[in-house]
Amino acid sequence: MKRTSLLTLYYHNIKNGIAQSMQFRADFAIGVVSSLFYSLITVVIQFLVYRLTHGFPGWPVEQMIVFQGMFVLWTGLRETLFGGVRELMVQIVWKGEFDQILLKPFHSGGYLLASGFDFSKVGSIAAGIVVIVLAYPATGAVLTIGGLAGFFGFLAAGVLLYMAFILFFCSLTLVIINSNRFIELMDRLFDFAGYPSEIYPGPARILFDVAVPFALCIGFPARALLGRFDVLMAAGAGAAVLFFLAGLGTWQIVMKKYTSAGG
Amino acid sequence: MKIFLAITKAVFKQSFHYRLGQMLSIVIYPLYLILFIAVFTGLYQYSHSATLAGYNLTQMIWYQGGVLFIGTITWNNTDWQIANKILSGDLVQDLLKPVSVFKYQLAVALGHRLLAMIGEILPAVIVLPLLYFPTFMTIGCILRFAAVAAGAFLLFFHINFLIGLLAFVMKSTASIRPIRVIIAWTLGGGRIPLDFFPPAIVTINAFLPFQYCFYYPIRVLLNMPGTNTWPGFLTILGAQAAWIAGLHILCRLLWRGAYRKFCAVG
Repeated sequence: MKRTSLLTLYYHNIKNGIAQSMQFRADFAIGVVSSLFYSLITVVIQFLVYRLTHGFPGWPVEQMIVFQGMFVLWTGLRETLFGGVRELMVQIVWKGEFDQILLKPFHSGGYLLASGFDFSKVGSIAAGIVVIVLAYPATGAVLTIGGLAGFFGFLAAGVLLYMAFILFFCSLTLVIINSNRFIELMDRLFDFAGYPSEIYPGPARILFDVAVPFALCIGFPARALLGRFDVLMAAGAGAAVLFFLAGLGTWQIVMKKYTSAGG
Repeated sequence: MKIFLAITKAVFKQSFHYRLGQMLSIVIYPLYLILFIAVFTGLYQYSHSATLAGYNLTQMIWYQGGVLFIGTITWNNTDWQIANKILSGDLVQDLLKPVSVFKYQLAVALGHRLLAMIGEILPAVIVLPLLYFPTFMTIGCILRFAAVAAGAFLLFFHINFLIGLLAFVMKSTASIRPIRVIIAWTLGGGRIPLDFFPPAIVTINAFLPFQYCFYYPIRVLLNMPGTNTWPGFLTILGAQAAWIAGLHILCRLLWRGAYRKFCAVG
């Protein structure tokens, strides 16, 4: 019998997610509007701050709008791809249903990662792309193949970093059961990606660019689009791969110790 | 009242059982603070300005600290709980309780916040003055803040209860909740002070309750002009009370109309 791959499973989950959204059409429509609204508000707030200040060093307002577009795109992307994973994990562990996942013919961590698709957040992806496309010409930057490749490469590395943190979160949930507050902790950590790393003092900047490279999510893809590469960015991408491997390793260790008990 | 307090106590004990989660605030809130401090220090330094929108750096950082306090005090998931119970049919169990659903949910929300106020606000209250000492703050303004923060809690609770009632019509209200958060936090001054907003938005805001959730309570905490006199403070408290009373009447009317349509078949 042909074995279904995780990608095929994810594809089916996307189809189910869309079908489910269509069941609650009003809720879905409002969800799309709300994600668009959130995207707009975020950009407007940044604009309001820039109106009364000189903004952040190294980021003129035109480039900052591209950064904000990237912020919106990143938020939409992570919520669409993996938006439901953490809540799902908390729910199934709380109810003692995690064993059911172990019966599935997939890598359990991969199965969880493939189960978090949330179609209602797709509006933010669209809004982010629109903001970037509209704001880009005013920056005066010239888009190159290298810049575009860097954009997608760093974005993929950012997604990998996020997947690593989800695996850490899921591992932790299996150990401590009630991990709701860790969702907030993870979100707060990723908040550091929401501002250009230039605002952080020297050591903190190295931390967020290379050691725990949150800048991969927003700052690096935006800088790649603007043609502002530096060597730290490649180091950050390498660190994301290591983080992902560490996430998988942690999951394996926790799975070996798992003894099947609910909340 | 006895039942109300018993529910609050039960929820408090339930929260206390998972105190490890609450203790995470010791890590989470300093993270918030570090981020605010980095962002606003950068903005003030790069703008070569001692004040922005009428706030000096210490006041701005304490404003963000105030957002944390108010966010913690007012947080509740009443809307989510009501919507879930309507969707699953579990609301029947609440209807059989010897208190109204409104009072039950209020007691639950209060129970959740009691531990949060100790475990979540305390770390920030200890850390923040060590980093930026609030010379502008007085015992009087802290007491006034306690009063308006309680008002903000009730205001938020009523807004959430109303959104929860929408589930009688929409069934799933998952998408409404983020809108509520975005509107309340943005127009309430929970992201940046309303002084950054253009006059047109400020005028529209005057007809909405959200600024009494964040902006004014935080200004009271900062002992800002217009809030540090009895007339100014009582105007804010009165406006909060008027909004709470209006929303409470709306809650009662809508509840009466909505629950009659409820049919517990999930």
